[in-house]
Amino acid sequence: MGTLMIGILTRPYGSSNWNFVINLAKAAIEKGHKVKIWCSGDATYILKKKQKEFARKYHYEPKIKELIEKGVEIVGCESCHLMRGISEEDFIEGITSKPMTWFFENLLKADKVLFIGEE
Amino acid sequence: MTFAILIHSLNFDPEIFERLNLEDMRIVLVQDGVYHATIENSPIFNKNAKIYVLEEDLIARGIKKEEIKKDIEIINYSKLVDLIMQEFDKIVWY
Repeated sequence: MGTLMIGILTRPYGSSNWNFVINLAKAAIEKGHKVKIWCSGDATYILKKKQKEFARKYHYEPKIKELIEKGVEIVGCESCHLMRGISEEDFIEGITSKPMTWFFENLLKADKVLFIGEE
Repeated sequence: MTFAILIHSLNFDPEIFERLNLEDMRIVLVQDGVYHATIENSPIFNKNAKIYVLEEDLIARGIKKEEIKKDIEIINYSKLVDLIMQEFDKIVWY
């Protein structure tokens, strides 16, 4: 088994990239791999708790919680979330904030890396 | 080295794509990129690359297996994880 690092910059709403990331992370963790997701840029908006569901569209919070329960490590870029006025108290439980150095360290340690940019 | 390109949209810059030439190239069609699997003269067929298409995204778009062109392999997320972890050396989101 290996470690898959997924980095993502895409905003959660208005793009399907997060659907892909969530499904891929779920499939990988269920196969016994370690999975880390690094959220930077507008992707940090997905870290916020109290997301409201509107007609079952793009409601990510429960899916993110499920990944965390399954053991996926989800990390927010410290400068990116603070820049957007999002503090760690706003985070869905289990998500952590780390500086960019964490990303580079874990990038080099990962077996495979997939980075998804902005839409 | 196995280089995998994950194509996630219908319209991408064919010029840049044209310049991507590697010995062992793989193309994985995901999200709206799956439409390329139904288009006869899509630029993806100009490459000497094995092509995969993600089943979950075909179903989400109502695309039937019979509409898929040439010998494109239909895979699911579980198989994609195996390809990423066991076969692909480098992966690009395109």
